[in-house]
Amino acid sequence: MSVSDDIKEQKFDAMLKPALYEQMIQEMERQEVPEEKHPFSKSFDRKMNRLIRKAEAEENRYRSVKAWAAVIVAAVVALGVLTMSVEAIRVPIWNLFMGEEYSVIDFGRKKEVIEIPEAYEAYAPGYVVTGYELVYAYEDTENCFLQYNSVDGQEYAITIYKENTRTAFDTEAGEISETRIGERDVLMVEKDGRIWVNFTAQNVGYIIEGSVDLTEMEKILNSIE
Amino acid sequence: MMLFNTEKRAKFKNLYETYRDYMYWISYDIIKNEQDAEDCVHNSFIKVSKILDKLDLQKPDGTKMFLTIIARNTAIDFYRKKKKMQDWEEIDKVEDIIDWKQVEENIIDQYNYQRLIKAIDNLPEKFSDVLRLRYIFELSAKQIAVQLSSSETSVYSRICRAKQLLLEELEKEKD
Repeated sequence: MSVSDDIKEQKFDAMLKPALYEQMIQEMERQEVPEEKHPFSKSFDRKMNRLIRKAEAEENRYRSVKAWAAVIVAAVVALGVLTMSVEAIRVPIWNLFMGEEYSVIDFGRKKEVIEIPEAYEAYAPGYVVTGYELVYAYEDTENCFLQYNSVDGQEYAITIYKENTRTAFDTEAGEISETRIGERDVLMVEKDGRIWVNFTAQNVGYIIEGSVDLTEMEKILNSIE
Repeated sequence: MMLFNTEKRAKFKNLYETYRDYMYWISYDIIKNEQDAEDCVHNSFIKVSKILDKLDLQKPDGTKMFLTIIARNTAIDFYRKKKKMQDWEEIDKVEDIIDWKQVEENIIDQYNYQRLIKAIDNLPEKFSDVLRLRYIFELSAKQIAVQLSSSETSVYSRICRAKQLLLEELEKEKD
């Protein structure tokens, strides 16, 4: 059908609707329908009531089915969450779907990767005591602070001063000694089971403090270039 | 069953109480039997329940018109089945599509609104009813088929034939 044929048909249809309506009104006015009420039979009333009651019953059944479906879905979701919270169940299921072997699946928050500030990378010790990891790094205009923690709550920290601006640290009630650890001459303070070590390497100042033993301390110092 | 919620059921009850007598008399006028006329009213309301959202009770003329069409067609269908008359399905052949190219521009240009109403008046009811359901109540062919206990093909065919008849009538009037 061409565009002009479409337009002709549309014009015709546009006239048809009001014409049909008006003609029907005229027809209904001509119609002679008694206005009196018809006494419907009891069987008719029963059939109509049944029609409406059937709809009510279906609606109730629908509501009931909906309610049960909601309960079942909620139960399945709760069961799923509970099940997946148990690692012994979660790992095999995960491995089954992912096709890879995991021994641990942690759905916790994504671990933030702590890195040594770029400006201090060259000065930071290369050695990290076994069982420890860098958990905090802070860079200031004059220094950088690095904290390492172990899984059992032990810690040590390194402060690096690029311009070797020495900062005083608490030596009160501590045992102070000038000693040699590895190949470095250091000022060491021992207090309450912790060690503070202060030294300079190539005009960069270091304070290393923590509950690491001297063997580990030596490894740390030796890893500084 | 489409009376699925309280609101629809209330609307349906309202329609039933307002128009059941009217629909009875429309049906009785065709069937001439009380029991059968009641059955037709029952069947008509079942059809109406499927299309309730198309009816606006705030427009009583339109509502009454629609119920008249449904009641009348249900009664005619009932009557034919009872008399074992030939089904309109067999009569409704696939009509030729209107060749709009043949429709002279001047038929529509000279379109006299009153002449169109007169042409609709002269149409057999089976054609005018299907046009009303299509253009006034904006039912789809499928919905019309359900209401008139017919098939979609037959509905399309009747709409086409109805428009053809109207155009032929207008052409005669012009002459």
